[in-house]
Amino acid sequence: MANTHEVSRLLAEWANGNQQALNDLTPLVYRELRRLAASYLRKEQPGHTLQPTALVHELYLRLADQRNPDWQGRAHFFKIAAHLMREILVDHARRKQAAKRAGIRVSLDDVVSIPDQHSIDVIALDSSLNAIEKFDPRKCMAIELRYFGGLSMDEIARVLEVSPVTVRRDLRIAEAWLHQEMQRG
Amino acid sequence: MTPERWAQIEELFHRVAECNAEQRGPLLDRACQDDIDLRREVDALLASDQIAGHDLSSVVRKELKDFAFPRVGQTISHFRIVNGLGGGGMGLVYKAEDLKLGRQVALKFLPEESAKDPAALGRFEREARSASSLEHPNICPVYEFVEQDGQPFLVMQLLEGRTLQELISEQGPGKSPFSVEKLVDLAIQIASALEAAHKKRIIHRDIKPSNIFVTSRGEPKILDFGLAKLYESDSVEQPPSSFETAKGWERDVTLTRAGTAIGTAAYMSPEQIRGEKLDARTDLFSFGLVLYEMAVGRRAFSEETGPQLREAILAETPVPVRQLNRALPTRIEAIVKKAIEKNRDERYQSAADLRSDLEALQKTIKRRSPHRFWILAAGALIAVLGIVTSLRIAKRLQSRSVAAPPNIKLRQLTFNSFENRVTSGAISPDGRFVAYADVNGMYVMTLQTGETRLIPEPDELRGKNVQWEIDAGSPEAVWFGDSASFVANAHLSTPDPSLWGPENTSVWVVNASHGAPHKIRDNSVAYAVASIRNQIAFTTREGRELWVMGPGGDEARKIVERPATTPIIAAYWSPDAKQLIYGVEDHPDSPRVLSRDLQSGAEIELLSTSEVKNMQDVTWLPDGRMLYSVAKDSGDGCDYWTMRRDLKSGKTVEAPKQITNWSGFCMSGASATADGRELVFLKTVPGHMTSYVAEISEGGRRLRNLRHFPLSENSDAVADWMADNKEVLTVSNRTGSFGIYKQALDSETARPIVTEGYGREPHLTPDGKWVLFLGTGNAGESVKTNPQPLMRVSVNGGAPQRLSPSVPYGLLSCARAPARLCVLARPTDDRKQLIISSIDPLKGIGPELMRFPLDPNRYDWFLALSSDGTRLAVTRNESGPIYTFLVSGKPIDQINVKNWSNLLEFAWAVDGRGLYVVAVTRGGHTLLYVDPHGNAYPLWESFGANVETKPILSPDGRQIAVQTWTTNGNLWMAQSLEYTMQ
Repeated sequence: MANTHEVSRLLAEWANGNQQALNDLTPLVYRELRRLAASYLRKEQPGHTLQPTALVHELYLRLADQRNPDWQGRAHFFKIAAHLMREILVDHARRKQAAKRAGIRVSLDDVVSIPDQHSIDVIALDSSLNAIEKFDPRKCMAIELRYFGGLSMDEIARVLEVSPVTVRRDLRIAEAWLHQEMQRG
Repeated sequence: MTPERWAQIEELFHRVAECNAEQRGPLLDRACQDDIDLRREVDALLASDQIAGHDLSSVVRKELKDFAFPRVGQTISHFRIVNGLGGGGMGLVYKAEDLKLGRQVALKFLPEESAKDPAALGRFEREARSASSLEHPNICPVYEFVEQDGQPFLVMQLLEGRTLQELISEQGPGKSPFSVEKLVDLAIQIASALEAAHKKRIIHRDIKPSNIFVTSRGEPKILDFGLAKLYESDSVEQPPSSFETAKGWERDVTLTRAGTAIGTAAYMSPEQIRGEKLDARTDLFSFGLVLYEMAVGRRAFSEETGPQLREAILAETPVPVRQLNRALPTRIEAIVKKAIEKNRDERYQSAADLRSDLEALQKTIKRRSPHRFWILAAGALIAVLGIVTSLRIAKRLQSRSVAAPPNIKLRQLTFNSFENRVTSGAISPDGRFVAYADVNGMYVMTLQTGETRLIPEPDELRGKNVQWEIDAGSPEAVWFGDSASFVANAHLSTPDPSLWGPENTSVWVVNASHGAPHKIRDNSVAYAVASIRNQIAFTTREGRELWVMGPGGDEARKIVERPATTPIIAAYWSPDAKQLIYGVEDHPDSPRVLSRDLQSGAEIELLSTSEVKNMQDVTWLPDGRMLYSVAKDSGDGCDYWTMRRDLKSGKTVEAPKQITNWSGFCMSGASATADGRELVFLKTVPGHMTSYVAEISEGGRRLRNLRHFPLSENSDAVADWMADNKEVLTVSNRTGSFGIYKQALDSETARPIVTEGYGREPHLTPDGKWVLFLGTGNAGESVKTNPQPLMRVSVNGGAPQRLSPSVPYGLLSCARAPARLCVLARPTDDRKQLIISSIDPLKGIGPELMRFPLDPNRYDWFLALSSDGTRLAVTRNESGPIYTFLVSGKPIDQINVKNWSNLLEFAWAVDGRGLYVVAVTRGGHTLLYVDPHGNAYPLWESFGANVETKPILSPDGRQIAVQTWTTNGNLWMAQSLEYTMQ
């Protein structure tokens, strides 16, 4: 795994608006996230929709430079990590779709079980998120933190610097809107 | 969307969403007035409100799973990868099927970066080989090391259960998930596994709660032996030249190796942190920390970051365990303290030392407070009810109980899940062993230590589908008198007990302590061993003949021969071995019990059919009394009763007595020790709803490829098929209350359709667009008397709509396309007639089609519409017959199901002639195919089923789903029966 200073530097650059930093960051985080996803799914309990442990918490512990573990830095990291997770999963889904269309199997790393026929998938979710982001970016971020980062309502409230009640309301309407939008699309 | 418009929508949405259903309409009307778009937007959002979160989460989760476990669906070498199990830094673990051996295994793949490094790979292979040389019951066995296409992986035993980490975190912070006894028991086993490994000079190096598995049988298994070393480069074992370099190295190692950085760092020994050369004592330190956590439910070092953790491990002393959990004995505290000494010379020097301290502690726990070993159950016994009890006896018994209140102590012996339930078991006459069988194998448990030995499969049976059975009917005498060995039946090829007959059953003798079983007879079913003479009673020739043989299968001789129509279904010995008692079945499910004197050949009826009907689980105690269980009048479980009958005359010499007062469960397969003080039985508790799916073959008379679906642990079962025959509607209580979901047969994720307001009876309309169901009635009222409204919802979800006012307890049934009919059957107010009406999914209850006379006091009527929508099959009650009608009400026929009574749910076969019918049998429910002449062909038994079992045909008629309630089975032991056994 790449050293943590490199990861921290790229995160900081990306936060400052350098898009290339994100591209450089993705492969560094990719494998780590896959590992975490596996252990994360193991913990899943039947009947729960979200997990007790946030995926991005673990990622933070593993990747971030822990010399300055202040909350600001952590909140910033969570936003980035949840967004990255979204990018990675969407990219994964796209490749799968492409592979299926082309009727070929890609390299071991990318081949996946046969994609199913559900009309709403993570690609539809992604484009709906892009749509909501245009008129309400905070809701988009709340959804990312919740569903791609696995954060609790209270944690999201701290990251977004709003009250937990606001987060709850944000999520409720955003979920409903996305659900409608995905079915439309 | 403009921000202003969005703000308007948002405000209204929240205002309306907080109201209850009735207030919403008027509020929306007022707020929107002429703004139709606003109304539409908010309506749409409200329709998605309840289900959206669940949907989004399953969309992400599904992708995440795909992403995390990229190999699912692949076949590598001869392994077909079925599912992702978990993983972390040590690589990903999958569940797979070994296509050569036909068994399920776990595959562990190396992390890719290690797989690409030849040096690491070589080390991995060496380590894996040495780990695979470890044979210990508490070390997860590595079967094979395979390298295929440059991908190395380990093939390991597939374990069922949870890791210590999961058990501890489920319990919640600060609480131990274990009793002191269980804690010590687990610790001893783990220590002995470490001892075995250390003897072979193998160090684990990464002992932590997530690396210790506790199987569903309660045995700990250490995972990942010998893998940790892989992640340390050779230089690592040399002490670093200065503290600075050590620090730099630490971070890298933790990050690179890692299950999770914290997961590992929190259990490292000080010498590991310092990068010193490691020896076996590092494992003892880590194990000490695990023991700490098992005892108090939280980590000894709970710092959050790697550097803080390392500092704490090097410098800080954790709070003593008894300060966090007062229930712990002081000796545990001392043991933990010694295990986690920072200086390894002050620590335990070997796993053997640690184990022997734990064992000494275990003895004191047992001696000092035996009662802690038991769960105290139902205190005083009050025998007030009885079949023929006289008031005088009851009173005497009552006053005696008050004088010396007996405490029957209950102890759970096995901890199996419903998928692998315990099927039979028996305690040895001396009370030392319990032999038992579950779906997967046969075991002997030593009661004092809890140690369990898996009985090896004999060569002759290897690779065959064998179900062992230890209690063919008389478990108290399955053991030979010396308690060293017992008799077991091996049933071949079918787990369905209703098909177990002597043709495919063989009789084996099993030694409790060593070796594999040896066969003493083919084509027979053993029922009982007379412990005083070691004579074995068995049946052969499809139960027509009852024979007796010696303990080695010698001197076999025929005692009874019966006509083929009334086979022998059970046999017992009288305590003095002078009489053979046996059950015969004159009709299916109506047994009676006879007694034959071996000397004179005289035979009497000991128990009539009507007597046996109320008794379950009849057995004979060593003192000659019959022990049997009877369902409580309240319906809340069963109790044991005893009575004594003269085996020559059949006269009652001791009136029936109730000896337990338990509630909530029923018992079967009881066996007792020779002194009658201890009783082992299968405790069956109502389980949950689940379902099976199978293909129909041979014109409907056989099922193929029967499989459990869905695989969830909650109540979750197929309710109907979607039109494509590939997706199903399921009902599930995954959210805490029941709802309707949609799920593809090849998928593990379900999409919610209705999560609130669902009552029962979901059916898909023939056009595949709607789900009809009955909504919830009044809370707390019995479903049979509680009126429910007819509801409909789109198969794509959204808000359900009410189609009718509430109707009395009714049933729905739908035809399949191209037909269009769905019907609702509901009783009239006086319950004398059943009204059968058509349903229009858009408008509600349609015209009445016909009426059918009902018995006003019975609720066990049932009805099914044929898939072409032209015929109805109706029963008045469980005894049948099944009446068939055209939907116009014109009678067609009546079908008397031959040889089977107690008919529950049924469904038409797709040809519109035969029916799939569920009948109640002794062990559960049996699915039958019944032809138009009433001939019944049993297809499958849902063993342990109760409440209901419902067949649901796929639209193309090629598949069948069976919804059923399952029962869990585990062995329990009741102790201190001496007060009641007089």
